[in-house]
Amino acid sequence: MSLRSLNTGYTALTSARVGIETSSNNIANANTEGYTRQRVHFRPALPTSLTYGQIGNGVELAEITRTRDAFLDDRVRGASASLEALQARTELLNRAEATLGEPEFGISASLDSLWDSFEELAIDPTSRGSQVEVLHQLESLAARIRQVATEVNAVADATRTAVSARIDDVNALAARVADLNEAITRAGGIDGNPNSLLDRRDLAVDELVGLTGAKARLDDDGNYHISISGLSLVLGIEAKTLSFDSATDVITHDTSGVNLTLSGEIGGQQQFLVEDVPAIIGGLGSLTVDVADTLNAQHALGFSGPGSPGGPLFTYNPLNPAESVAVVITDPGDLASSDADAVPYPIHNGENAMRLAELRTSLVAAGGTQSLADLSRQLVADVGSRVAASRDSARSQADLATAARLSREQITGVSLDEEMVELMRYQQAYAAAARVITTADAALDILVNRTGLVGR
Amino acid sequence: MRVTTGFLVDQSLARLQARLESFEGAQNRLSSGRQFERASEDVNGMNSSLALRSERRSIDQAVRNAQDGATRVDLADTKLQQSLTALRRVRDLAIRASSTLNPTEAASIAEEMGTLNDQLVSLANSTYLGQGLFNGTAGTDAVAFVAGSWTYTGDTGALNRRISETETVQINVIGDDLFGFTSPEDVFTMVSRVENLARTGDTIGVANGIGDIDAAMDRIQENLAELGATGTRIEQTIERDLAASETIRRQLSQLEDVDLAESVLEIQTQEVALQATMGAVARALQPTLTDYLR
Repeated sequence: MSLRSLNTGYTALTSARVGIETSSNNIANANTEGYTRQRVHFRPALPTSLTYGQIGNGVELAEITRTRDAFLDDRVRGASASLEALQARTELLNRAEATLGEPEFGISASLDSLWDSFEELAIDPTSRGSQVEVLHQLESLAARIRQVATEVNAVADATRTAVSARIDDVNALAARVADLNEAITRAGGIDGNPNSLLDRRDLAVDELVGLTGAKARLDDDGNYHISISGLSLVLGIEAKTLSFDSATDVITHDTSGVNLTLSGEIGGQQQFLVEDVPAIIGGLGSLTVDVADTLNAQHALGFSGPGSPGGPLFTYNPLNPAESVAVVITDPGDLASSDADAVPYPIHNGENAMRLAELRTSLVAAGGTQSLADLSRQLVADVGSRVAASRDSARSQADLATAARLSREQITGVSLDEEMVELMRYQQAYAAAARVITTADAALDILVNRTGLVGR
Repeated sequence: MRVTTGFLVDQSLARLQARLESFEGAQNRLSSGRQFERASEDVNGMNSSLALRSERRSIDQAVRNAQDGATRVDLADTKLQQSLTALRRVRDLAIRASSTLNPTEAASIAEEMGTLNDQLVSLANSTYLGQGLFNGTAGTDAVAFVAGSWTYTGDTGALNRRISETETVQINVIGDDLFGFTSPEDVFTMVSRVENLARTGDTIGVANGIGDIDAAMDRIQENLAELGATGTRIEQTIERDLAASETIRRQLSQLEDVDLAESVLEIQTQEVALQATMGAVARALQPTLTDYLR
């Protein structure tokens, strides 16, 4: 009766207030990272059965849920991991390419200057100026090669530092996901709707997958199971760790000892360290070996003075040619410009210098199919293609990742306009509910104060 | 499709970012004047650019080589002409001496022949920038009086110059053949002999010597002709090289440089597009329901 209405009105008031609170929460968190909008679900309170039917008892709160779609989450994580990998690798390759300095300040230009200086020497082998210029160009070439190698290795070292820091982040995130798994289980599991814990866990998983490209799967207990290449990183409430060895560029899964190839941001950096840097340094090294060996061999065929055949021009450490190449010849008079040692000594014979200059175009590399300049250009083209391919992949992947993210945003995001409407709705419901209570109160008032007055 | 605030913001930012990137690219090209600055921007372009630059350097060096060669050839030509003049004078003197002369005249003719021989030796030992013109690649004089006779003290080395991408020429004349050291009698010994014949009044001997003088002059004449041909060839090759270098310069420019007018137009187009995007973003983000509620 009226008392029932009073109670019904009260439930209406409470539920309207919960609705307003939920909307306010959504509005307050509209720009919070990782926040999923919450919706409140009501259901009718258990009705009372009477002989002539059922009569309702108002409304009660069923649950407050997050609107989250696991499938979209998966899509976003997958796309984002690939994108992070490509972007990380592109950025690093860009920095490596910048060290080449082509076309004006690169190895190609250095080689051109060297051949020119040999030809000037051939014109007058006795000219001190021409001799000094040749030494200068030899030194310049060696220095340029060393500089490129050193700078590429510097980028690699900076990457190793970054990877170490990131691996630490991964371990911290894995621990956090495990803790949150436990907290959520204690809060009643997914069915208990501990929404802010769930949001935090999803955010941590997003970050973890972005870094490593791991697989994230909700298991039957409501825990997130994170795995990389089949090895668990987070299993229930247990978190495993990864470690990075900067001497060998190997990432290991600590518990099982297996070496991993990651995806995600760390994967991109790993690919740079393991594939790109060795290829670039290797290409540079091959070029160095070819240039040094060919020049040394031709120089040895000539003479710098009576009975003085040419000595080596360059030395290098075969294990690391590009970083170690150096000019050994120090005395300009030791340049073997002549191709004959006769009596009297032909001081104006510059034929060997001419032979050295002819290395500009002669096919001495790659088994006689390429010139040294071709090799140098090939190195530049190789690095350029790597960067271009990675960058183009990153661009198209960016579109995919954005599309996935926006799909998810559509479901999980807060629309301020929608919340405005919700607020208005619950505000009116609140006003109406207050009205109900007033009505019930007025009715009771009549019953209590206005009845039984006859005969008084 | 449910559109949230976050969605609108994300979309707008993404579009703005894409526009700004295009704009920045256009700006970069205009301010640097280069179509591409790195291989990754145009792999084939960079490859061609490097190849063309190298070729141009090679041609320019060939021109320098050729110019040095041309100078030497010219100088050798001049010296040989002067040698010919001297030998002609010797011949005239010999003709005079082949008819009977009084001893004073004979002596003065012989003396002049002696002076002319010294001149010939000096011409044979001419140098350019410290390097002999006729002594091959040796550091010593071409001709010297050693142990009582005139000897060729140079060597037979060739001085070669690469004058173009495909041609190398020898620019020197070897003195031993030129001055008769590979023939039975060299020119200096011959002039000396005629000088002595003139001094002793041996008119028959002097008359016979005229034939030898002619032979020496012929040798020099032949080599002069060859030098002349070499000189001409070098000059023509220099012309061709300079033209080739210029062609490459134009090719490089087409490959590497931006067309200024096109670039300015591109920047203006990008700017307008950027403004349009910004305007659209502003209009999309501003209206909200809160503006309309009390």
